[in-house]
Amino acid sequence: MASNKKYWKSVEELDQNSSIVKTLQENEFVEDIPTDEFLGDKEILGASSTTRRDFLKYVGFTTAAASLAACEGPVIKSIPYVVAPDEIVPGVANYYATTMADGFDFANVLVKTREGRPIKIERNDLAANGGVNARVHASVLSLYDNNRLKYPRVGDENVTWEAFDTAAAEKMQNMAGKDVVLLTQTFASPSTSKLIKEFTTAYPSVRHVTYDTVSSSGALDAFQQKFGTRAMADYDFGKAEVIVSVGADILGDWQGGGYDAGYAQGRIPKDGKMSKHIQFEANMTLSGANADNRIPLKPSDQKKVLAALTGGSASGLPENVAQAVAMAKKLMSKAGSKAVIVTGLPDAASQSSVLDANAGSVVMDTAKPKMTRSANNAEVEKVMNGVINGSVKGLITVGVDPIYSFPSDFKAAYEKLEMSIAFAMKYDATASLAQLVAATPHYLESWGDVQMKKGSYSLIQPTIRPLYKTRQFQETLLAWTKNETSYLDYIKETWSGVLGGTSWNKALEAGVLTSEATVDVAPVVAAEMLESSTSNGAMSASQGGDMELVLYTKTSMGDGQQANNPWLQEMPDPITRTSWDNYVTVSSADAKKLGLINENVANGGLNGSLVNVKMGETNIENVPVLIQPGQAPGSVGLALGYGKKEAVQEEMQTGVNAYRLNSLSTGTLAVSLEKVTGVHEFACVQLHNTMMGRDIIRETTLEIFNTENVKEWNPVPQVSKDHEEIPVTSPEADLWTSFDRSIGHHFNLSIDLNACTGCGACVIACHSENNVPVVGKAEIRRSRDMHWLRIDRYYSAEESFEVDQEKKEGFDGLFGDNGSLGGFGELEDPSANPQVAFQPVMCQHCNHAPCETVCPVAATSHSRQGQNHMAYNRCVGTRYCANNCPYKVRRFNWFLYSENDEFDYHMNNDMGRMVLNPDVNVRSRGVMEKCSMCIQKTQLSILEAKRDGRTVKDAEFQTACSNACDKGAMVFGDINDHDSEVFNSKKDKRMYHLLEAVGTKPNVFYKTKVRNSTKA
Amino acid sequence: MASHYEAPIRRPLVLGDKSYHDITVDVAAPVEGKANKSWWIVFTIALIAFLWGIGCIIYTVSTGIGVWGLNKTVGWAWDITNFVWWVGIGHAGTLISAVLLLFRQKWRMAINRSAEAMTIFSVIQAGLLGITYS
Repeated sequence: MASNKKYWKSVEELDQNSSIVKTLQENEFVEDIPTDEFLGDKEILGASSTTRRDFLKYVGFTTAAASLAACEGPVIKSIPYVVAPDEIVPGVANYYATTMADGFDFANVLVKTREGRPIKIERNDLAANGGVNARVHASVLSLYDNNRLKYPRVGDENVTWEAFDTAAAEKMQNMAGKDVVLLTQTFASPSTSKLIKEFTTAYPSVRHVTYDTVSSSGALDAFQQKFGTRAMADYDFGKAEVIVSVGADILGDWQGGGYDAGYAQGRIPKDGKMSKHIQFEANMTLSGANADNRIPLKPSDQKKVLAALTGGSASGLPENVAQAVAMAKKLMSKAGSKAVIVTGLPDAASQSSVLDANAGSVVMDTAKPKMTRSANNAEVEKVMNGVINGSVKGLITVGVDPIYSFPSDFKAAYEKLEMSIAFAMKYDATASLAQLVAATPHYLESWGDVQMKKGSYSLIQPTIRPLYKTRQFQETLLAWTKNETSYLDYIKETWSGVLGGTSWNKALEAGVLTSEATVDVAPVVAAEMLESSTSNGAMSASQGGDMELVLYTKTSMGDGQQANNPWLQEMPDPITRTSWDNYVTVSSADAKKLGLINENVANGGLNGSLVNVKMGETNIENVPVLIQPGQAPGSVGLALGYGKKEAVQEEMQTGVNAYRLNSLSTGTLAVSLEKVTGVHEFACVQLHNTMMGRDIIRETTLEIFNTENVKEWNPVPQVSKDHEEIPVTSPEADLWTSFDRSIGHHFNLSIDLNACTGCGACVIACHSENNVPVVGKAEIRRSRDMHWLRIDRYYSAEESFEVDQEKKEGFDGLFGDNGSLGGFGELEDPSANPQVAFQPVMCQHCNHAPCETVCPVAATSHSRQGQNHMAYNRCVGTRYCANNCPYKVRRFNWFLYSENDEFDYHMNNDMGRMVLNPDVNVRSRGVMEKCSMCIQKTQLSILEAKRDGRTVKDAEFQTACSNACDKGAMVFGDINDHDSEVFNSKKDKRMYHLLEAVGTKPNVFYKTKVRNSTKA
Repeated sequence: MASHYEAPIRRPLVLGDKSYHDITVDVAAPVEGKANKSWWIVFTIALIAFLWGIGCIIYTVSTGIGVWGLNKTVGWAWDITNFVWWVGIGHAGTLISAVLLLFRQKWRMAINRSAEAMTIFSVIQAGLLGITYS
């Protein structure tokens, strides 16, 4: 609607040459601004006291003050070394070999220290003993536990050690002639045994009893009866061709654990051969999940199976079980000395029969047995009853918490004791009621020695000065026996016989020493030993329940000593994938009978019914129920180690205390379940349990693997181009032109699904290396876990994954018997006895990464070395990358997880923050994070090699996860180095990429799982 | 006094012999005069909603976007829905205005004004969400 009208301001404008018009056009203001009015007036200016200089000063000061006030930096006090220690170079890590021995976990470890503080636990490669599990990796955080005892206590007061010793001496004097029990954990320590013997000689009224909260009493009794030493037979499952396990969780904490590394060796198919593993068990365990054949059986039936396997008849067993027994027997006789049978049945008779059956087996080692357990439950029970009926007058507990872990209500009796002394790291249930409490240090602050296996010695050395006013139990004993030597010298003295040709310093550096020398280990009084074995574990009718209870220890929590460790609380159970809880596992058949349900509710969490678990007089109320595929009908499982209240932060007071349920018994435990109203909210990280017939985890059988072409069982996915099928790996299928990646390093990570047992050590190792935050139960329930590395667990919907796939391929149309509508619904539910497979998944570091192309700020990009980088300070938090990631491995910092009272875990206190790795930054709110393939480690290796002027050796490249894996399941390295292990691994015909059809070309690859399907 | 022209073919819209000034006063009355009760009620509701919104933005900014209940697989939910909603409304306003212009509809002025206002405000909203959501 343009108008042609022209508006005139004056007639002057008619004249094109008018000077007035020109001036008006050039000057914005018709008249000059009358600045002269006030600037020209000398009087006004003279009267003003503000000079120009003053004005500038004011402006300058205010600007400076405003900017200073705005950016006051946080004050961090740091104190420089006045005299720098020789061994500490700031920024360079020192490693010390030491040994963890807390009575439950025994492991040889390397401790990484930075500027004098331990920050990470790694495996000690020199040690033959395994067992560096998730708990051992997490133990470094327990060192910095805020709830540790900081002073010794007498009564309700913190005192000095001198005052403590005086008070203790007085007490001990009064106790002369009265029955005093020294109740300790298993130390397996030659020096400690010697010292305790000296102590009991000096104080003859004291007798020493060891107490394992999770005991192997039956196995020890059986072994002692046969071989004279109180120890447990050692097994090297790597040598086995056939492994038959009756209720033994050989990949878990059975008889002290640590068998998984050997087991994994035998599971990798070599020359067409791998071991065959048959598992009879009640709970679904890691061992059952990894077995070739798994037969769910309640413990009373396991006993029959064991009898049948060790020579008895298989009559009375159901047909499928009898078949499995027959197969196992046949395979075992075929394998001869390379067969082994193990059992987790707690009674000595069963254990004894196994020792007999394995007599000729090369797998079992009785000459160098394991010493990591020593307690006799019958004797412990006598102590417990002695305290209750008043015959025991004094109790000194060391490293154990009987008020928490005894099956009876021990509290009232304990308070009545004439003398109660507790040696404890925390103010736990026992320590909080003890008259005297001796604060003991963490193992990373202690000296010590351990003999885990006969002839294999280890040393414990401190890696940091004690954080608090603590004193080792052994130092206290030395003080009490008026011995002037320090415990270090005492150990050296004991070791003079052990060292042989090695020097002390060499042994200390290695941390381990194999020696033929024997040291005198105090034999446990064997008087009552046979009592428990003759009781034969018969089911006692008085318990009166219709379900058989199997108590087990979780991979994450173990016996519960580290209950205040947020890493372990948050670590999902490898089987149930549930964290922050323990629960009763029941079979789906029993759940139906009792009307128990598990359901995924609208807010994305798993909810479960509650039950009361009753055993005789004991009743544990409101225990959540988790319906566990593969649980033997008629049996229930419940994890020990939970339900701690004392010295545990409120957020971590999770679960119920299962020790109440007759944990000292070596017989079958009968319980009854009673449904109660209410639901429990689980924090479960994996709600979809099956693969729906897809090949996320590729699996095949040994037979097919040996005979068929690789295309049959590990095909490269095909994509369509111009209506022709081409392999997704061909350059034709590629949108981009590839870079030349043959120069420099190119990192790959190989994950062998055959060797992976799902133990989760890598998860915790990653946690501690990369400062991954802990988010708490509520956040986990909202699917906001921050784990960079997860281990997915899949159940088969039919009896095996193969049948799942066949079923999916066989779908025809939407409806009907073969219809996909109903069929996919069925595939979602795991079978009653499913096959199980594990798959560690971290960032796949795709060469064609979908996340990189969508980032609007280029915060994630690819390196020449194959790593997919995350520049945290570039990230603006659009979460586009996470949405585009097909593997769902990116984690977003929804909140500030450090120094935030809402997330009151280790990153919220000064002590807990000491564990942080200074090489990796702590991510702030609103930033995406993910696995970096431990770039700080690879760069360090490269720089070290550069400094030394050499090429990097293959084994030098490690990620935290590959370093933690003692099974060889994770191999990291440079594929441009053609001699490297990972290069050879990539050429393996079992190699495949996860979701390869997407065309992301990941730098992480998997190796197809092969199951030994030999039918005898 | 006939101060204005009256069309012979339709009935007058303004009755009562009003001058331009009278009409101006009438039209401006609600704005210039004191607000009545119903205005205050509606204003209060709007104010509460506004303050609630400000409160939510402050909560989001101070605590983190975790407050929306997103998680590791559902990375966008509330925020992208809201953003697209406002952007969509913005598009609708532009579309209405553009269509009317293209078809040369003489009566479009009033509608265009509100449509374009709607567009501008919803784009501001979307921008605001865009800023607070990342």
